[in-house]
Order: sequence, then structure tokens, then C-alpha cells
Amino acid sequence: MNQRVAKLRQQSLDTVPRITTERAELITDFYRSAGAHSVPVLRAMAFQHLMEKKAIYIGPGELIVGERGPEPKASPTYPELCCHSLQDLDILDSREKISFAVDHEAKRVYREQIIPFWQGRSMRDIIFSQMDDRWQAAYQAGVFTEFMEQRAPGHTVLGDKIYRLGMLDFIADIDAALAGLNYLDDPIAYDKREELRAMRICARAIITFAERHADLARAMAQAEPDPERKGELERISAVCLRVPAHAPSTFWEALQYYWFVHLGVITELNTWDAFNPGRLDQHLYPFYRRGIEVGSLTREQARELLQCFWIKFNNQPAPPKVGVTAEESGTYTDFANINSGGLRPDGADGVNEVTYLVLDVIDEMRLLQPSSNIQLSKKNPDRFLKRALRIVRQGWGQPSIFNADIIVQELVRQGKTVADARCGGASGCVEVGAFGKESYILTGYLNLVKILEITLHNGIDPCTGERLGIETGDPRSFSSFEDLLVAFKKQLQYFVDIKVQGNNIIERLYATRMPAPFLSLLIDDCIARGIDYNAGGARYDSTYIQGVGLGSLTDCMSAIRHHVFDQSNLTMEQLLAVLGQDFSGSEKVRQLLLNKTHRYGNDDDYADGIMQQLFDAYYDAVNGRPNTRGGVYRINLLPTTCHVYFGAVTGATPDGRKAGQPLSEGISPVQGADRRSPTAVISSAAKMDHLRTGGTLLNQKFTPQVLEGEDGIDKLAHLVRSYFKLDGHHIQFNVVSAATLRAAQAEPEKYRDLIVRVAGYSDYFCDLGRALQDEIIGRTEHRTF
Amino acid sequence: MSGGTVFDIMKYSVHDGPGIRTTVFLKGCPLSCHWCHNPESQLPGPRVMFYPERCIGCGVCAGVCPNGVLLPLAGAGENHPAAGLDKCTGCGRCAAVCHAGAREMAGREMTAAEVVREIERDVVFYDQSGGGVTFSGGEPLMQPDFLMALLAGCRDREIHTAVDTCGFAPRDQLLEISKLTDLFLYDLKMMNDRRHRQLGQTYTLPDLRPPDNEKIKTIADRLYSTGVRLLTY
Ligand code: SF4
Ligand code: SF4
Repeated sequence: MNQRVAKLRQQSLDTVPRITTERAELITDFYRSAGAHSVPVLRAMAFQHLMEKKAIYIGPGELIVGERGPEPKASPTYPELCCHSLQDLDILDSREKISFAVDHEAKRVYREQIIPFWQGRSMRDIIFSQMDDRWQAAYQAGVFTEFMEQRAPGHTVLGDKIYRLGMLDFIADIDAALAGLNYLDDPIAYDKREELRAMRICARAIITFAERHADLARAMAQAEPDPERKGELERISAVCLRVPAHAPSTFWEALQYYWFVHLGVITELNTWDAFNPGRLDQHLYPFYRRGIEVGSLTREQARELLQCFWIKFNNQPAPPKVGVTAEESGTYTDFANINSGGLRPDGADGVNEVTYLVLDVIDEMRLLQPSSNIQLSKKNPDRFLKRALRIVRQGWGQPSIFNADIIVQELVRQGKTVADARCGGASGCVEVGAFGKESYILTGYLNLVKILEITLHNGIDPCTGERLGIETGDPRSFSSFEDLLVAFKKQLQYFVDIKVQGNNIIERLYATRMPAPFLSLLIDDCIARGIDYNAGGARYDSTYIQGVGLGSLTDCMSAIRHHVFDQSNLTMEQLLAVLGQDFSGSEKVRQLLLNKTHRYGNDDDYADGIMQQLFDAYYDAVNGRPNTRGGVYRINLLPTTCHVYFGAVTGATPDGRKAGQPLSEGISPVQGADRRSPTAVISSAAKMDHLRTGGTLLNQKFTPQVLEGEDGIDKLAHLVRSYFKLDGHHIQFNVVSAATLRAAQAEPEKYRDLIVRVAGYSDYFCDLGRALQDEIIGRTEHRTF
Repeated sequence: MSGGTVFDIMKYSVHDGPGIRTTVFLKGCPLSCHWCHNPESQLPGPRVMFYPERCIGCGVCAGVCPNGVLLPLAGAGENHPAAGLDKCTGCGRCAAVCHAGAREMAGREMTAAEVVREIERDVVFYDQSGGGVTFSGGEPLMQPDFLMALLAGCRDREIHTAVDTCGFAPRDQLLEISKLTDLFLYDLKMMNDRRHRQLGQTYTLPDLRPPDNEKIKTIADRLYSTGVRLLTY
């Protein structure tokens, strides 16, 4: 990378994340004097206020401009969603991991202005006040989490439309839609009008925001003594005048347009799983080719612009999270996950020259954000896969690898058209979506193992003695494994019902109180329908509940089936007693459960058959139920860092796991339970019907020796292709030895830049909590022999 | 189908021939090279293995051993496997009761059908990578009938096979096996006979003479002329 990029990158890495009250102050000012407008129009006016008033930042040497806060790494807050208390701010400032500097002035502003205005009025307060006792009890006990309690529904990725249309074109579409409203026959014509007006205000506001950058760049150019930089600033000014008002005409404009849109989305609301450009290589390719053809762009210039664009993502740490949300997603990463490769809309191989350029950039930049993945189709060349694996081999966890062909099938199964499915991909950690056309909201993690624990206590949570679930029978009276399975399914259904009821209320709270007219502009068919993204305006609407701990749950069930029912090695009574004591004094029994159980991840049909039954149970409990936006509920299996939190609230389990230890993550086997080989793990994982999910996450850990040489890469490539032949959805690799990780625990100062794959994202090892560090060390390390 | 003693079956073996392979280690070896990385595989019958880091010192194993050779193992440390194991008959009772997995049997009696079923589990990986199965040891030719049955079973299923041999076996047997094998990994331990004798030290089966490298080379040439692929290393 050149000097400019190296400097910007270092600056991004060195800057300590801090809280800025800029946004909180502006939004509070706005709402204090807000007029009597409809909710969508108010939201749009608030957005406009932010775009007109927030500080504009253009840093030395930057080519792509714009920041969410007043400068890089200054993270705004969203008091209308979650109003941090002074105590929250202290915690954010002082906590060891994922901290944010909060200065004295910020605390004063919060104490005097923000808290008095928003306390009791934030979405977080409203949501918690609307949930019933059963929901509260299950939430407190760690049966599930709730994504929307301090972040807005998001989880969507941009399609290709901004590369064809400018905001002025959108405004024309909106005006046409407004003109076509039929107040006589359409009972919600008024609502549509307000929503469309709101979108129009937002489209204008983002143009204003860009113009303010153009103005600043021009003023800076005038004062700039260095002729080269002066020229760049003039160019920046010209780019910002053109986009996003108009469709982009160059590579640079395309990137800058996207970046303004990105800032708009993450400033309007604090959406989950930050928006991202999706199939960036395909979107940029026409601009790249044209630039090269007419001689206005070189490959090196394109590389530099992409690198500057990458740094912009890294400048935006995920806004501060507190409480359970901080536990379930303890990271600065905000999950913008750029897709490369895959298929074109017509089904042809989607790999192009920009794809390789993007892979080079990922390799050189080594940044946590944006996250990156490759979409691997059987049609893609091996060269593409191997180029990606050479990056994977370096051991910092990127890019992850998705099965593009299966993603298309998953989306088609859900009812998307083939063309829409091919334009889709994976986002966040592993979640599938039809990019630019779908709202696929993740609503929270479900602790599958806790539900078994409650089942084993006939509805009581043994950690508190409280009744949380329903009575499904005393397990000591069960005469077969099937009895247990039936009881578990009832209990599962009960908790899923509670979660779904809560979600349905929360969805309506967002639809009615917190629409997102700017985001709605960007996602088809919100304009055509005149309906907000949060209210069902997108062409496709899915609501997800993410299952956690399937590997642990399988091993627990397998242990009970084998030792209690098949072999009578111990009675249910004895098992429960031993679990109640957290195995103290019963190490022999614990060893029996750990070592003499058929365990998932070893291509053992006994265990894997149980996994399939449990997968079906989960699928049946969730899939296909209607949500409030005209779509349905679906499942996916990923944990972020929630398997650590869920483990912490779950007692000792029949798989020999001690109380408080992490659960298995994603669809990976329990840490250390897979003792055979990577092929056995893959065969086990492939017995799950990935097509019925919206994403599964499989982690594998290799020692660096396994991947040495070209041969190591060849064989890893074959391993990946084999998994995908078996319809696997996603796989990712940690290439690091346990010895290195232990050394990093002992002397973190020496390993500050050590990055590892956590769940669906990478993070600095030293930024992870101790429990999570230990969990990663405990994962089976596949060696060569 | 016949049966035999299998020391171990390793999946995702990446250094034993082309592609992703499963390596089946058959027990028994006529040599006892000092560099051998799995000396447990040299003896013909099942043997018990001890993993001290897994042992919780419960002492249950000592209670079931019919030969009374085992002492409770707490704190026995790395050196334990040598202690008292000379009386071990490999009956496997201790391994069956050790919950911690600290005692495991190296070597299992398996039928050829069982082994082939295990090999077949990774067929998708072989197909994708041009891999297959490698029979190694020990010296796989120490169990010629078993090996033939395994090779025949693999050929039936279109699974690529390799035999990793030191060539220390009767020539006719080698030729017979070559008909069922796609690839020989011919392990020429040392091209210098005297040096080989020095390093090889003792031989498990006294009636067999140490390998004669001239002979091995002759056999190799013969095999090559039959069209079998050979890799030497
Ligand atoms: S039974 Fe296993 S764990 Fe117990 S003393 Fe013997 S080897 Fe150790
Ligand atoms: S295998 Fe049998 S003879 Fe050998 S140590 Fe174990 S119990 Fe004793």
C-alpha cells in the first residue's frame, strides 16, 4: 500500500473509539421543537436536521470522505433507541474490553440534556415496558436475547440501484408515486403519502449532506498550498456535487455515492448488522472497465480508492452496546460484510477483475472492518478460491467462504425469484438475503441448551428455582428417549411462542414509532408500495430467530439416550443429581459423559441422527409462522458471542460440560468433541438440511502446518468444495495454534495485532473476554500427520 | 471377507499420496526402525495405549486387569506405558472401563467389510480431490489376505488405493497385490544395506532377513513394468 493509505490505515488503527454526543444533542434539539407532523415525516425531518447540522470532516490525504461522527472513531449515540444512563457511560468508559472513552463534557451533556429528555421515552424503555412477565422472566434467565432492545431493525444489504440512479431519480419516482395515490379507494393512501413525503425529505437531505462536503473540500482546496492535494480536494468537491444527486459515472463516484448512502443509513438509525454494498465487485466492474478503457483510471488508482473506502468502514466502530446486547455481541465490529465472486444475475460466473482487486485489498488492509467473504459457486474458477485461501492461510480469519449455489437455493425455497436470489448473498455473519429487496430482521438468539435444562427440571430453571417453562413431565418418569424428545419439543415451542409474541409487538412498535424513510428509499419496493422498510415495504420480509448451541444440545441428548436409556449406565435420577452438584465428586461420571458418548462432529450417525431430529424440532417450531410485515419467521444458526453468555447462564449439562462454560458455537461441534478429522466434522455438519435455514456457521481450526505449501492450499480448496457439494452453507477457518493463543493470553502486549475468527466475524484476540478466548483455544485443532 | 488388525484409521491425510486420503494403518511390521513415528503399530496384535494427560487417577483400570499388571496410574506420568505392560495380553478390559479415554486400544480386530465401510464415508472428499485410501503400517503386507480383501473392496467401489510399503515381503505377494493397487508408495528406507542393518537394529520376526535393497529395486522394476504407478521416497 502507498504512503497515503498506510497513514490513513494507521490513523484508523491508532485512534481510540470515543463517544460523541453530537448526534444525541442534534436529535434532542430537533424533538424539543418538533412540529405537529406525522411520525414518518418527523423522522425524516430529524434526519434532515442531522444531515444539515452535523460536523463535516475531510481528513488529510483522504479521497473518500464522510464520517458518522465529527471525526474517525467518534461513535454517536441514539438516545431515541437507547438512552444510556450515567452509569452506562461509566461502564463504557472503564470496561476492560470494547470500551469507549467518555469525557467529562459528554457526561455533562447527558446529565443535563439527553437523559432528562429521553428517559422513559426511548424505544428500549418502551419495549421493556410492553413485554409481559413470561417474556421478562425468560429474557432475564437467558433463554433468549432481543436484538431490537437497543438497536433498530436493519439487516439488509444494498443492491445495484444506486449505481444506476441518483437521488434525483428517486425523487422523481416518489413524485410519481405521490401523484398516483388514490385517496378514494386506497384506505391507507394517507399513510403512504406521509411515508413518501418522508422519503423525499431524506433524499434531499443526503444531497445536502454531500454538498456540504463539496463546499468544505472546495474551501480546503483554495487554502491548500500543495498543488497535488489541491487537485485532489477539487476532485473530491466535484465528486460530491455529482453524487448522490446523480447516478455515478466513474469508479470514484460509485464508491463515494455508496459511502454517503452508508453514512445515511447508519446515522438515521442504529441498525443491526450495518448495511453494506454487498456484491461490490460486480457493482464496480462496469465503472472499472470503462475507466480502464478510456484511460481515466489505472488499476493502481482503483486499488487506492478501494483501500481508502475500506478504511472508512474501519473508522466506524459499532455503536456502544450495554447489558445483554453487549454480552451477545461484544465487539467493535459492525458486521458490514462485503461479498465477492458468486453468480451474476443471469447465472454466469460472477468473478471479474475487480474481484481479484478486492481480494488484494482485503489481504493488504488486514482490517477488522469491513468484514469480507467470498461467494463460491461451482462455476467460479479454482484460482479465485485459492487466492482467497492464501489470505485465509495467514490466519486472521478473513475472508469467510459461502456456498453461492446453495444460497440461491435457500432464497428460492423462501420464494424469491431466481434472479433476485442470484443478486443476493450473505451478510452480517452468515445470514442470507435478497440484496436490495429484502428486510431480513434478526431478532435474537435462542438458548437451545437452556431449554433442555428447563425440560430436565419439568419447567423449572434450576439456576434460580423459578418456574420459567411449562410442566412437561418429571424426566425421572420417562421410559424412553422419545419421551424426552417430546417434552423438549413442547418446552421449545412454548419459549418460541413467547419470543414470537414479543417480536410481533416490537415489530409494530418500530413500524409505528421508528420508521426508517431513508433506508426505505434504497430498498425495493418501498417507494412503489409507499410503505416503510420497518412496516413491510420491502419486496421480501423475513424474521429470524437464531438458534445457539445445537452441537451442545445434540451431545446432551446423545449422552442421555446412550447412558440413561440404551446402556443404563446411570439413571436419570443419578444424572440429575450429578448435574445439580456441577459434577463435584463425580469426575468419573463426567469423564464417562465426555468421552464415552457419541458426539456430533465425528461423522457418527448415532449423534448426527439426533442432531437432525433436533434441527427438525427447531425448524418446525419457528419456520413459516407469519410476522407482522407480510412475511414469515425462519431459522438460522449462528451465535456472534452469545454462546459464551448463554453458557454463563446455563448449569452443568449431560454432555459433561460444567456450569457456566460456553456452549458450542454456530453449527460447529462442541469445542474438543470432534476428535476424528476435518472431513468428519464436515460430514456431520452436512447431515443438516442447510437449505431450510437462512444461514449456518461452521468454524474449523487448523494449525498453520496443515496449510503449508501449494499442496496445503490445494487440499483445503478440495475440502471446501467437498463441503459445498454436500450443500454446506458456510465455512471459515482459524489458522493459528493453541500455543500461540496461550502465549497471547500470557503476554497480550506482544500480541496486540493478533486477529482470530470468533464466530461470523474476526476480532483482535486481546479484545475478547477471557471466557471467549478460552473457548477458541478449546476448539479442536486439526493437525497434519 | 477376511479380518485383520487395524492400528488406526486417519481421515484427511494429506501427505500419503494424491488428494485427500484416508490412511489405514495396519498393524505389524517386520522392521523396527529407530525413526518410526508409531512404534505401537509394529507389534502384530492389539496393544493398549496410555495418554497420561487424560488420566484422572481413578484406578478403575487396575481393578479389571486379569494379569494384575497395572498399578493405579495417578501421577504415573509420561513414562507409564512401559511399566508393567510387558505382561499385557492386549485384552482391552482396562480400555473398556476407562471413562477418561486415557487407556485406548491401539489396534482393533476389524473385518474387511467394516474397514471398507469406514473408508467409504469420505468418498465425496476423494472424488473431489482425486484422493482415496492409503494402506500403511506397520507394514501392510504383514497381513496379505486382509490387505487383498481391502483392496478388492475398494476397487469394487471405484476408490483409488495406494499401498505404502517397505517392500519387505515375498515377491509373489507383492505382484499379486499390485494387481489390485493403483499406486505403490515404495518406502526405500535406506539404500545402503549395512547402514540399514545398523539403524534397523532388531527385527520382530527372526525368520525374515533384513531387506535386501537390490531385491527391492528388482521388484520395483518388475512392478513398474506391470503398469503400476510407483512413488519412492
Ligand atoms: S481408568 Fe483411566 S482414568 Fe482411571 S486410573 Fe486408569 S487410566 Fe487413569
Ligand atoms: S489390555 Fe488387558 S492385560 Fe493389558 S493392561 Fe489392559 S486389562 Fe491388563
